[in-house]
Amino acid sequence: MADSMQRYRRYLQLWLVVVVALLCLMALLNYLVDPYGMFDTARLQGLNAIKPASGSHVRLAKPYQVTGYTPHAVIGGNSRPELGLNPANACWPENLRPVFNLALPGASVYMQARTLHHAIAGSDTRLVLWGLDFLDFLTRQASAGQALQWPPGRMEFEDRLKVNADGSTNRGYNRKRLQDYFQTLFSLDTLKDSLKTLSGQANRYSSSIRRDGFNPALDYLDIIAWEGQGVLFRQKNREISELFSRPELQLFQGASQWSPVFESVRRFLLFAREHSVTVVLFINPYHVDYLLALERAGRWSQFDAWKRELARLADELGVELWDFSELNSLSAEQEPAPGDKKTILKWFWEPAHYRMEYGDLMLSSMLQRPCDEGNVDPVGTLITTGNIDAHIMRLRTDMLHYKEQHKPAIEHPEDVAF
Amino acid sequence: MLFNSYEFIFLFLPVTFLVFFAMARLGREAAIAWLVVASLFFYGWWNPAYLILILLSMVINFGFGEFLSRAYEHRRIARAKIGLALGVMLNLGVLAYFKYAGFFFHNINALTGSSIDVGHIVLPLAISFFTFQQIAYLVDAYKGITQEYRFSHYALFVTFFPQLIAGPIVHHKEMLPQFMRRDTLRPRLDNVSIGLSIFFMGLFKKTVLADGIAPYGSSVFDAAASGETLSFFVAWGGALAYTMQLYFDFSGYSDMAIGGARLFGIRLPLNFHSPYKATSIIEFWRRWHMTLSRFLRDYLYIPLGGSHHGRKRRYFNLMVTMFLGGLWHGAGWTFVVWGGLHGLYLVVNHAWHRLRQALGRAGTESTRAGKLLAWLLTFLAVVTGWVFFRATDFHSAIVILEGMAGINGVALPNAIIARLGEAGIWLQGAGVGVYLGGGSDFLFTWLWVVVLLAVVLMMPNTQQIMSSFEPALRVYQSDNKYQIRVGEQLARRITWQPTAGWAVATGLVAALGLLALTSVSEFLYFQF
Repeated sequence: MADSMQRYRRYLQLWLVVVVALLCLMALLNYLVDPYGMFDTARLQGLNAIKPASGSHVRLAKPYQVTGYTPHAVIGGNSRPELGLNPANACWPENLRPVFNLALPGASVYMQARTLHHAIAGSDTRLVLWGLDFLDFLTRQASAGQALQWPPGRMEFEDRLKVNADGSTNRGYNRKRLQDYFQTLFSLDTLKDSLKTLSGQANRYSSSIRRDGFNPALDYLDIIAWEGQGVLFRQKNREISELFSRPELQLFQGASQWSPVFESVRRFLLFAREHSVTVVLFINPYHVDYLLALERAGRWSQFDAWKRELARLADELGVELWDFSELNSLSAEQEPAPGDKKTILKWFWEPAHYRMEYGDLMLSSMLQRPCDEGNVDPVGTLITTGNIDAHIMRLRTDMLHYKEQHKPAIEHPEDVAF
Repeated sequence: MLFNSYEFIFLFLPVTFLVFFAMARLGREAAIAWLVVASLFFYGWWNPAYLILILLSMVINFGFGEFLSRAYEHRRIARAKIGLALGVMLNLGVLAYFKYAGFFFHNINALTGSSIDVGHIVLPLAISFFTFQQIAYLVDAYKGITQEYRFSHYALFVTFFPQLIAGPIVHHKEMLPQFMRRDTLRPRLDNVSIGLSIFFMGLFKKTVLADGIAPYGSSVFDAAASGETLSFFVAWGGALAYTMQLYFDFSGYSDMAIGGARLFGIRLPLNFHSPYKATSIIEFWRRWHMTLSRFLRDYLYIPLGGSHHGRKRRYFNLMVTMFLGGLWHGAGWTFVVWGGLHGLYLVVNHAWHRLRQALGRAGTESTRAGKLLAWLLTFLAVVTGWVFFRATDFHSAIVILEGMAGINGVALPNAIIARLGEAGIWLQGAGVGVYLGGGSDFLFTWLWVVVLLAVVLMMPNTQQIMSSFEPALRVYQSDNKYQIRVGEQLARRITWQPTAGWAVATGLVAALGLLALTSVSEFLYFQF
């Protein structure tokens, strides 16, 4: 009996040692590999430089990364600037470096604004480039009796931000940060992603977020190599058409010229002005397929109204507003034919996402510095309430011309892609 | 409080364990009182308001039980019958109010056009379990099988935290004698070793396996609910993923209950025994949620007459039992359909047995091919049932079943077809469709399904792994005639012993289970 109990004692002792040792080892591995870039552990070539799981964890990691990176310029927005604007571009003047790309895929404008708010609060940030997206401004109508208020109810992501929506300090920030760090270290999900990181270093087409927050979108190249870029166009065209066709998504609340989304922009601009941070707003470029889908869905007048309201806001708060949603030889780039797995467009990944090469031209315009953009005409127009009508008319005319020239293909949109 | 939470594993369980044995030095009653208090704390963790209901329910049932026991002792049969009827009705009435009133009046309103509004009734936690457990107690007290004159003991039988929330459904007569044993009051290293090993195997099943495969089933059921049509492999992938999730979730939770109780030297009844190895529906119900099957058999099917009043009556009793068993799982028509389906399966199964008997084939062992066919048929029937069980409404279930039947065609993600090269072209030529997106989801769904299917069919279950140490009450003895025998030799070799090798293996399982308690928030946003 005593012998038997001795066996159980040894079993329990060893079991406990194994559990504790394994937990510590796995946490150490997660820390060293740092699959989401949360801990800013050294990025070693062939070991953890490529981070395949980081792309799906930016909402967790970027708010912490940006505080450690102490950038002088920050890029905000959704996935379009995340994939398009390169913080390492030569165009950035020395006094604005380092630059951090804080754009968050799929984030609402409120989330974008609040995360930028967090980035510039108490920091040495001098410039914010904020990419605005038409679809992000389409929201559901508040039901009758439902108060239209700003800020909306506190959301979970705001626990990770240093400041509250009213500008006060978030007292729970450090606790949340500690909790996120703990949960990331002691997590099976992270362990799987650490192993994925270790085993994925040979894949040169892996998805990966750089230390400066930029997403080079190399995984698109993998899809293109296997399936062709036409597939990306077809899938995105279907998605945006579906989104535009939702009648519940509207620009303004009721008959007003107001929505919580515009209010998010206005509040952020006010905060930035109080803290002497320059903000440049810009409207992302779209491929012509995207513009055509927007028009087919009967959203064009909303698109114009959106730009007008943005121009008004920009004027009111004294910030620049650039419009890159224009029709030119870049945005009218013809997508590859079905089955073509070789051709890769120079300016666009698919109708909604422009490539870094387009972003470089945009930076050249917005930073007003001639960079190495080859023989391409400057892109974008600086818009104000003064030139907005002429600007809007120009795009309408360009669209009419384009449609005239491409009539058969536009009448059968599926044929354009395939 | 959930078993799979930090607060349970690192605070509640160790504190309850240590204080229990410290109190045991003061005497049995002190230790029992502590365990009741701790269990009530465990129950009230979500919402302390629930405590009022469970306490009231226990006081009333204890009173009824005492009355019935005395009536039995004094042979006052008529009074006992009235007492039992009142007690059972009261329990069912409370359950009906909290669980079914909304459902009932929703249907009444739909049928009659009325607009009766019962308001939002919050379902108290575990009410289905503690109601059944107490009904069983009343019936047993009425029959003189059990009796209890101390409220604290009765409260422990109802609230003992390992089995309180999701079973196993226990009987008073199998629990209290264990607490009365002298050695229950002393901590034993063997019980702790066995208990922790079982608990963490259960935790692994729940947090690593069930939670790991869950998103793949959920996405398909969500797609069905939002009106998407599903192609063959997608629908099957979702149904099978949920089939695996449910088993590992519930059997993992039952293992944690059994392991947690064992730390205190208490053996709970077994609740699962590799149900997906069953080769008939009858066998499936002997292996799935075994304590519920036992309850339904003893307190519903047999009182209805069981098999003693002819074939037709037996089939009727089976249908009624399974319909009500379905409704017990949830107040919704999908649960009723699920129960009805299983009732029908059981009727067919019994009719098949009868046919075999008539052909003189009863009791003979099937051939390998016959068993395989029987397994396949049973498994398909079970998976079909789970579609109704999981679907949010009848329409979603039909959408998934249509997909599984191939009505919407067979299709593969373009990403996979493209990587199959010539084979992909051939598949398209053979009529296999292509859809965009969802390539990695598809791949991981089927990887999980194949791996977990292999585990449920070939690996020994917790009971078998722990078989040398009496892990549970009423250990299941399987009849070889009725099960597929895959990986039997492996099963015989994987038996737990308090050795260094097993300490490392269970330590790994525990560490992975603990790491899986936290999920890192991920934002899946396909192609941006």
